[in-house]
Amino acid sequence: MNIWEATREAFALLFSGNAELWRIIFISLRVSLTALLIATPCAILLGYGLATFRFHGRRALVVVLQSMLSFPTVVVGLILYLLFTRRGPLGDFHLLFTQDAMIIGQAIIAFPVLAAFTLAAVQGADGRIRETALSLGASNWRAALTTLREVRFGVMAGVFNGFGRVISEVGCSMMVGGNIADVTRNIPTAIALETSKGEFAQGIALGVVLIAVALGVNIALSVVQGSGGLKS
Amino acid sequence: MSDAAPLLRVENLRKRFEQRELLNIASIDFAAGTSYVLTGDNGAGKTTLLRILAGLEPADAGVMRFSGREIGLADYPTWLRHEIVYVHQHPYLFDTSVAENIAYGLRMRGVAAVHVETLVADAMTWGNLESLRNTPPGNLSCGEKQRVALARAWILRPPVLLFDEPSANLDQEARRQTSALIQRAVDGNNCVVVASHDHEIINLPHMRRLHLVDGVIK
Amino acid sequence: MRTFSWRGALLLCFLLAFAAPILTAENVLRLEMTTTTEDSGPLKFLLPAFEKTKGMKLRTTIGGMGQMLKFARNGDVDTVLTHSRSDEEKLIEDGFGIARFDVMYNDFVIVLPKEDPARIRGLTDAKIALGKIMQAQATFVSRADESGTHRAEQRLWREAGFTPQGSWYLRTGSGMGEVFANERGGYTLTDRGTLVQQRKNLELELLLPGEPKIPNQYGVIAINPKKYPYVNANGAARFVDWIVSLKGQRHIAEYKIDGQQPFFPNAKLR
Repeated sequence: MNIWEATREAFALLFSGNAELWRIIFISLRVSLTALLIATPCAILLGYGLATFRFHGRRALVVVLQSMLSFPTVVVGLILYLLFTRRGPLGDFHLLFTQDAMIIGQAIIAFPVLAAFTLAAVQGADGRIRETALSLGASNWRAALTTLREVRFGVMAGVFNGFGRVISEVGCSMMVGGNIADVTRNIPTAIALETSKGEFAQGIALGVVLIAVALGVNIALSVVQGSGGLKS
Repeated sequence: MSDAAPLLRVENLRKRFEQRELLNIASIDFAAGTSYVLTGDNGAGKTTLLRILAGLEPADAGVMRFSGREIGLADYPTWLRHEIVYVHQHPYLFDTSVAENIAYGLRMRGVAAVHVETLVADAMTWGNLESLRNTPPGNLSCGEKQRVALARAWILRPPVLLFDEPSANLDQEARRQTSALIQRAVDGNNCVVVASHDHEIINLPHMRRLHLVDGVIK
Repeated sequence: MRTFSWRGALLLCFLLAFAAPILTAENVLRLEMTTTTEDSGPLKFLLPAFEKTKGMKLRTTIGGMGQMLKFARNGDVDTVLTHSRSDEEKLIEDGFGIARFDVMYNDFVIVLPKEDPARIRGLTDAKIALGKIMQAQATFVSRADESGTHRAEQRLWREAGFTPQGSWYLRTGSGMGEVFANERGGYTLTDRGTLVQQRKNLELELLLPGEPKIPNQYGVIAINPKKYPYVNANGAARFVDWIVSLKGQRHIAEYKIDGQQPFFPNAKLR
């Protein structure tokens, strides 16, 4: 087995129209995009608040947020496992080994990325943006929306990064999803399984699929983001 | 006139930055229907005064009254922002279009879309901006940006308009156009306060001059 | 000149401290084991004993069965401790391993949830139990990862004459069969070593061990230096010799968890 054989096999698999493969792709996208959808609004608000307002404990919060960027995904999975297990405090919701549990885990994983990027973008934004908005009669809330719109490229960089982190994470999905075929098996956990089975070519093939999926989502997000005018 | 309460009054205003005293003003009145030009050297406190009046910076001490109503300077009320509008020395234009920039304040005030359109068209004519309607703000010259910002504030017809060094760093032609706009902004009912050391503006008719030296009105 | 920065120097020291070259020892033996083997604890008792007696350092890789066999075939390890006889024999047949020796065994057991929806409690024959589970469409958790345990499970279904299929047959590729069964109130097949090790975390019952047992035989193989001259053949031979020796076998027999013996040595003493 060499890397060329593996890659060739990868493309053969991609174009074979394998139903199970499409199911895995669908689960990956559904879980990761839903997680982003849940995490993004709260994370952006937190990032904006930390960048804009001075309050007690702000610096500590920023440090915590930035350290959370290096939180291992499998630890997020472990903590959720302990909460969701039948004997755990949230055991009655029967969330363990469901897509919902994976969505919760990925939302937690994406959150600090989104918040930290928003924080950096808003902190680096021109101070006149908010002042102009306020002076023209915007409420704090509208001034926030205006500022975020002006720094949307920085915020979107956070969304791209957050997506990259969740679509490729294996630790948490494996732990709280359980890699059940057709139910909670997404691309990364499928790769982990193929690897442990010694099916390296299948693993590479799924890796190529993951990259293709990520490319598609990033193109779609770029279209949403739109092109901006020149900054003064 | 002098018996009526002034539109805007500031008393015992103080502002320090570290050891330096930026402002120390016993009292200033701004009357409705009168316009003022605020002069003084760089660092005399012109910008700081305007920013405090606009609620963009807190004062260390002092009382402000708007139409006789006392305003806590530590907690600038939102309604007052609809009465007092400030324009930066180098204005920031939102990354939308010239027309959308001018419409911004109206939208924040919840003005109906039909009215916004006519009011914006009107303000574009006022600011001589019709030809720039669809130009991205990033492609405007400094003078054009300043005119957009003036129109963006003027369209709201607030009782108080604060302009911070509107003609600084502009070429001759742009300065002429800017001061012409400022002259037109004074409509006899409002109160326009311009910080400037540009003679084009200082010498405009009907402007009362306030001179600041080291944070004190002389 | 202000080119020297204390912060920069501190950062550099910090990086250097962690980038220090990893010490490499002569007597390093690369051993690999399957996850199941690791789960049931031999790392904790067997390997330190070997390192102490022979003065060698073991570098143990742990992973799924298929992955481990692939590593073995690529000469990425020196010796292999696994539990799938057919795969092990294939390794020898293809010339990647020198020889295979039995080391120890235990047995696979079916574990059942408290509720026991298929009513297999009290049964002793695993094949009959599987039939009842299938008939009741009760949740059965399959590891579905081509591991030794999964191979044994597949063999058992085959021998019982059933083809499990349907939503009740949960194929999880996570290597956590027991945890799953515990959560979902399902049945699963596991080896006694793993069960003994994880007992305290589980609310599962053991299907009473009966006859015939479902054997779980562990074997050791040294990788053939004729295929890969760079393997530590000498070290591998010493490990194989030691683990099948009286001394090594005694270590296996003496190991107990909560008073239970997870492995039974069965090397043919030479």
